[in-house]
This record gives sequence, C-alpha cells and structure tokens, in this order.
Amino acid sequence: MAILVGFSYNYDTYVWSDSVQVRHRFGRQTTWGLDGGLSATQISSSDGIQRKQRFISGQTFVQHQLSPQWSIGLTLAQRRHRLEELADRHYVFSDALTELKYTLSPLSWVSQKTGLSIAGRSAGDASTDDAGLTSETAAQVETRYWRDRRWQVRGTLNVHRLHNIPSVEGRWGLVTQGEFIIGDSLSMIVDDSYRQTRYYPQADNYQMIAEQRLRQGHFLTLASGGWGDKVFWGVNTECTWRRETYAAINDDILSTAVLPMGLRQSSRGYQLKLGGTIGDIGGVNAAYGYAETDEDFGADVKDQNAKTGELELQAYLSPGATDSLSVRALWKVVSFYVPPDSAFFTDRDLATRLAEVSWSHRHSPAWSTTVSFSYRGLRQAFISGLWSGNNNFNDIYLCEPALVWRPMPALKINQTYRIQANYLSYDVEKGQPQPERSTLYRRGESETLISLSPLSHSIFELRYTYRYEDFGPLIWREKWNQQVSWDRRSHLAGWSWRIKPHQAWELTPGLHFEQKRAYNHEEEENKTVRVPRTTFVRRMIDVAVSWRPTHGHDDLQLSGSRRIQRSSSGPKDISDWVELTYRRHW
Amino acid sequence: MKSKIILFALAMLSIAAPLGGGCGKNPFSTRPSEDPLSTGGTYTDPVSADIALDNLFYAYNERNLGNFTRGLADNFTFTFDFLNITQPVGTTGWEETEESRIADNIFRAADTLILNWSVSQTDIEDDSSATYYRLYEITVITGGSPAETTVYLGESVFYLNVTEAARWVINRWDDRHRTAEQYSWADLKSRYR
Repeated sequence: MAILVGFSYNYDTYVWSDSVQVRHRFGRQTTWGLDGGLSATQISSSDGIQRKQRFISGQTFVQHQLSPQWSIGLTLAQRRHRLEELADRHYVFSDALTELKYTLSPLSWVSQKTGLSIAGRSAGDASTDDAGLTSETAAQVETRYWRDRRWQVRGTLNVHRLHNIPSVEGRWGLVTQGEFIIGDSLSMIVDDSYRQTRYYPQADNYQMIAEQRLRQGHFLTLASGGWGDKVFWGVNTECTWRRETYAAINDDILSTAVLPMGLRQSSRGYQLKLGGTIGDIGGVNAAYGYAETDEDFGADVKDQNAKTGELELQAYLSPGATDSLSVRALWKVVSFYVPPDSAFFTDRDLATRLAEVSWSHRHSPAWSTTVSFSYRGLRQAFISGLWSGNNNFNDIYLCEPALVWRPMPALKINQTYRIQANYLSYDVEKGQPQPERSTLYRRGESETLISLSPLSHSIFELRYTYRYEDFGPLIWREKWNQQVSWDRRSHLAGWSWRIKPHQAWELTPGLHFEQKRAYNHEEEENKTVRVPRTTFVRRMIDVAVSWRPTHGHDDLQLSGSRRIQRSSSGPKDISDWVELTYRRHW
Repeated sequence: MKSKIILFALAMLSIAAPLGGGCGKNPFSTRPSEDPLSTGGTYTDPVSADIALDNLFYAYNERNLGNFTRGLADNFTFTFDFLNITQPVGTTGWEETEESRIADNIFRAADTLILNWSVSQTDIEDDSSATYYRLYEITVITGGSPAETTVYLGESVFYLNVTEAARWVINRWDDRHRTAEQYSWADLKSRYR
C-alpha cells in the first residue's frame, strides 16, 4: 500500500498531486487492487480569470490465477478530466474489462481484454455521450540463447468500437541484441505503429467529426567491437518515418483553419566511432555523425529539409595520480533547405565550433587546482540576400580557474574565478564606424564558498560572489574594439545551515542577499562619466524540513521561501513559495 | 573470426541501406551567402530578460526567422490551453525544432503580420530567471483574392533563463485563450503546423 500527498504554491499557481495504491492477496491465487489519483492545478490571473484543471482517475481490479499459465481478471476504471477556464469542459471515460492471459514464460505471454467503454463530454451547453465495445490484444515473445543473445517480438492491437469516436491502434516491435564474441555486439530495434482515430476538432462543439490516420516508427542498429584491448569502434544507424493524414467524416464543412494539414516526414542518419587507449594513462576518441530529414506537406509550400554533419574529437591524459588533462573539439554544421520556389526563401546554415581544455593538479591531499578554458563559436548564415544581413559570428571565450583547499577535515574552502568575453559580430557591420548590433559582453566573477562541519550532523555554508559585467558596441578599426555602454556590479551573499537534531529530522534554514548596481557610460566634455541607471536589492529567507524515519516507510519534505525585492525601476515585490510532499508505503 | 566478419558486414549494410549508397556532410564550412539586401532586422544582444523579449517582438513583426530562433533555448517548450486546438490526441505543446519550423511556415505564408502586446501582470525577475505576462493581438493577412485577415487574441506567459554565456533565452512559452470564441497564438501556430 502506498500514499502520496503533494501540494505546492508558487506566486499565482496552486498544484495538488495525490495518489493511493492498494494491493491485497486472497490466498495464493487471487489479487485485488485499487489505484486512485488526483491532479489539480489552479492559476489565478490578474485578468480575473481562474484557470483550473482537474484530473481524477481510479481503477479497481481482481486477478485470479487459474493455473501457472492461465489467469483471468476484471477491471473497472474511470477517468475524469475537468477544465474550468473560459468555457467549462468536462470529460468522463469509463471502462469495464474482462481479461484472459496466457503466460508461457515471464517474458512470453498473450493477453486479451474485452469489455464495454462509455464516454461523456460536455463543454458549456453542448454535450454528447458515446458507448461501445472495446477489445485490447497484447502479446510478447522473447527468447534468450547462447551468451545472452535475445530476440523479442511484441505487438498490441486495440479496437474501440464506440459509436461516434471509434479508434483502431496497432503497434509491433522487434528487438534483437547479442554479443557475438567477447567485446563485440550488435543490436537491432524496429518499432512501427498505426493509429486510426476519430476526434472532435472543436472542443466546444460536437457537430464536426474528423479522422486522423497516423503511421510512425523507427529502425535502429547499434554495433560495436574492438581489435585487441587498445582499439575499439562503433557504428550506429537510425531511420524514422511518420505519416499523418486528416479527413472530415460527417458532411459539415471543415475549413483548413479547423482541420490540420497532413504530412510525411522521414529521417536517416549514422554515427561512426573510433577510439583507443594509450597504455594506462590516457585515450583518444573520434566520432563522425551524419543525419538528414525530409518533409512533405503535399500542396502546402512549407516543406523544410535538413542535413547535419558533426565531427567530435576527445583526448584525455592522466600521467600520474596528481594530474589530469582533457581536450575536446567539435565541429558541426546544420543546413536547412526550403523549396527554391518559396516566396520566403530561408535556406540557412548553423555552424558550431567548440574547443575545451581542462587541467587539474593535486598539490597535496588538502589542496588542488583546476583550470579550464573553453571556446564556443556559433555561425548563423542565411543564403538568401533577403536575410543574409543577419549573418553573424557569436564567439564566446571562458576561462575558469578554481582551487579547493581543505586545511582541516571540518573546513573546506572553494575559490572559483570566471572570466568571460562574448563577441557578437554581424557581417554587414564589419567596417562600419557606428555599428548597431555588433556587441561585446564581458564578465568577471569571483566566488568563495566556505563549508564548515564541526559535527557530523551539522554543516554550515557561507557563500559570497562578486561579479562585474560590462557591455557595449563593437567598433571595427582594423579589428573589433569595444565601447562600453553600461557596466553592472553585483554582490551576492548568503548562508545556509543544515542541522540534524535527530536521525530522522533535518532542518535547513538559509538567508540570501543580493545587490546589483548598473551604470550607464556617457560622454561629457570628452570624458566618460558613469551615471547610475538601476539598483536592485533582494533578500530571501528559506526553510526546509525533512522527516525520514529509519523504518523507511515515511518521507516528508516541507519547504518555504519568502522573497522581498526592490528595484529602482519598479515597486517593492514580496513573494512566497510553499511545497509539501508526503509519501508513505508499507 | 567468422562472427566478427558477419558483424562487420551487417553494420556496413545497415549504413548503406538507409542512405542509398552512403553520403555525408562537411562539418567544417557553411554554404556561401548572397550579398545582403537589407541590414537584417532589429536585434539586440539579449544580456537582460526584457531585451530577449523585445527581440522576439521585433522578430515576429519583421518575420525574421533568424532573430526569432536565436531567442529560444535548446530545451524550449511551447504549451497551451486546450480550448480550440484541433490536434486529436495528446497534443499539449511542442519543442524548439517544431517551434522554429512553425514560425518559418507562418512567416512564409503571411503577407502582413502585425503583433502588438501589453503587460498583463507584473513581471517576475530574479538573477537567473524571469516570467513575463503579455496580452497580445496578432493580425495576419494572407494572400489570395480577396485577402484573408485573421486576428488572434490571448495571453502568453514567457519563462526566460540565463544561459552559461550570460544570454537570456526563452525556455518556456505558455499560451492561453482570452475568450472561447477568439483564436489564440496557439491556434495560429497549429494552423501552420
């Protein structure tokens, strides 16, 4: 038996999430179960509209084992969904199903459910009822043989013969995995499904009925192996397909605004991997990937195809117990293609270049240093002259040295510095004396974190961050130069104290303070003057309580926060957050 | 050894089969562009949340796909209420790739697109996230004779986050109808989905 009670409040949103699960055995052959769930959301907007959504579901079932292979069952289930928004809508779905199941082995079985389904829908003054027979067939066959090679075939066929909204849904899949020799393996996964279902295209009107036919699936292969202990390889491929069509069922006129357009989508791709190890001290990996997608919307000129090429190289080295070095580089281009006859020709390429280097060194058991550097270059290039004015380079450089010092077991000090520069340069502005969109953003940050744990059941943390940022246009004078428009200086400080007064209880109070001051840079008499722009101050107090008794059946989490903030550009704001979760199982 | 050969042959076959002979793409260089006919739209480096939202506003009005997609987070999601959405089963929203594709379709299909919005609730901001509420009105005029004019009304809630590169992006966009009879932004997107 298990119970979950959840509640949270955040600014204008209330969320409830509760569930219960009960299982009881009568002797060795009969099981009774009850599942219930409630999920509700309420959003209060300043426009006076209360938006409420409620989902309630429940089911009870009895299963009886006739023999080791045969079992029978009965399930009664109901789902209720209520949307109390601008138009009150209410949906109720009820099922009564009998089940017959034949189990050949734990991995191979077939089951048949048959019964009656009833559906009720209402939206404002409109309502409709529906009823009919339901059949759900499911089967799975799996065999395992030499060295864990396995084949699995599974399938489902669900037929709901309701009078107004019938549906047919079929799905089948094939999985085969196996290790052919030690270290080499091959897997194939096929999944394909077909669904034909009717629906009401207008939520507040049950006059129109439409039908959707959907076919989708994927085919995946994963192969990997090695030559000796030093070199390994991998080849993965994937194909996907999706086809949607829509049709009007009754005689009402369905405009294109109501009925979606059909589509045909497919994708293909592969990934090649090659790697090796250098003794016991390092290794290298390389991977190349290619993927392409196609779309066909029939008469609608909105097809967009894409091709992706990606190369990734990685290397790592650990020459001793105290040093490690890792390097990673990536090149990727995604090209989008639209029909050339489109009036809005948006062919474009997105390119990514990435370089990361990280080195760490342990000077002594109490003191270690890490330095990492990364570069990320993003290139956006439109092919058409109509949009190529947007072509730009976005280059981000980040350097992050950090050190960890542990002068005594109860005290740990982390000191981290971050230095970042972000150049955004537009092709058309190169050479212009006063560019409008090319900019440079810089940030420098120092963060100190002190953790003190004098007792095993108490940890005190103190954190302080100073951050400097500036921003301004990039001006091209033989090379890009920055002209600062504004700067911002931030102080962030806070403490938290985790206390365990008892083995089952944990209490974590905390206090946070933040202050930001921004200044505009203005020219006055050939001098740059810093003029105060905005000031922002925030205080935040939070408390978290946790109760986990040692018997393991209960788990209670309660947390609350109050935030008070004031900005020179806006009114004082006070907000509260509350979250409660309780679980019990036995 | 025999098993190894079979494995390798199967792997190669699985490459050749889907690609019809095998092909790839150069990951190092982009295609050449035509010379620009214009400066490329209104866009400011989104170093604050309000700038990121302004960029989205201008990108829509200027039907500028490049500036629009740059404002979306990698894990972006668009969600909406269920009032008039026509998709049959299980559709409650979509992700960044789909959002970009839909925007491309709308920008291509619309001859005129005018977006106006106003603040509907007080903005919520902190150091790394922000929530903006906007009441909007979108007028879309599509070609044909006579031209078709459709007005979309509603409220959108934008949830923004700051990235590692200290840029603000929209990571969630929640759309709500204003009345049961009026089309919303989600209806516009669904129409061109």
